[in-house]
Amino acid sequence: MIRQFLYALNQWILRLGLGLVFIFAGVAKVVDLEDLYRWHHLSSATQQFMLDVHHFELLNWLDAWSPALSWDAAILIATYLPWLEIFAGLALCARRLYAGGIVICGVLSMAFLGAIGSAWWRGLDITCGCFGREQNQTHFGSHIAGNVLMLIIAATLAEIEWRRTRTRATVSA
Amino acid sequence: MRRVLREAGILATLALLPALVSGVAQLKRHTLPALKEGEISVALAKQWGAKVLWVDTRSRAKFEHKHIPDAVLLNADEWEALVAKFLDEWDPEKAIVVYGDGTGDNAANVALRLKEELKLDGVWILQGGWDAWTQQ
Repeated sequence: MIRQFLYALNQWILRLGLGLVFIFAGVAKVVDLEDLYRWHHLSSATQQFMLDVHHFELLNWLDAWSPALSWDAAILIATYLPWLEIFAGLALCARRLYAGGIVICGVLSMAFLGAIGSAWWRGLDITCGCFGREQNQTHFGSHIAGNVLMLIIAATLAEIEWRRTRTRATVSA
Repeated sequence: MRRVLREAGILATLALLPALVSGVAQLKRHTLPALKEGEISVALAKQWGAKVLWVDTRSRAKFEHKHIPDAVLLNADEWEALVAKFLDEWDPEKAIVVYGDGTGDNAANVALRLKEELKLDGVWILQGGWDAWTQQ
């Protein structure tokens, strides 16, 4: 009984924790939270995030196809990605479209891990924009650790959900 | 597996809707003309944060109604009375960003006087003035 309760509590904490992190990260990329806090001003953070995306230099190869195509791609990513994070986070918190939410959180964590890891490998001196505007250069080690943790949580939730679905299918059969 | 993909697809589609709205809003917002010499954009001035001394060149009534936090009032009408207060606030480590209504040239006039009469460097004019600030 206690074991079951702890199991459920653990899952609840992981689900809400990961969901809230994704919601916060998404909102911080849509709204400039520093502006809101310091100036009581509601302003967009999309342009700043677009610059952050471009600073990763992962899209520069697109410029070989068409000049400034990397900027267009950065604009698309900066406009769409935060909302995907918000909706995936909401799916986890509300437990609606749950499996899809877990997969998106996992895939995004992997993508972030790859992008940050490669920036670190290439010695780029940038701010990642993970949680909106940042004044200082990104501390890659802690960001990589954070993303690994998010990936582990997503994998754990996926495993629990897969088991739950299988048990339910077995019982109904 | 099919359920997972279907749910992920629904979430990805749902995210597309606000992203489209946000994208259109961005396109509308970023149609400011190119910066003139000595001008600074609201976005950049904000990034400088505490390293900026804001100077409001509008009328006292407008300043008292609302102004950028920590801004100092300094307009042409009350120059003699206000310049001492401005000099108290002035810090050589800070950039001076002067703003007006956004339509007139009161900010340009005050910026010129700061440079020529007080021999100050690092004086910038906020592009679009107060109007641009409130719209951002």
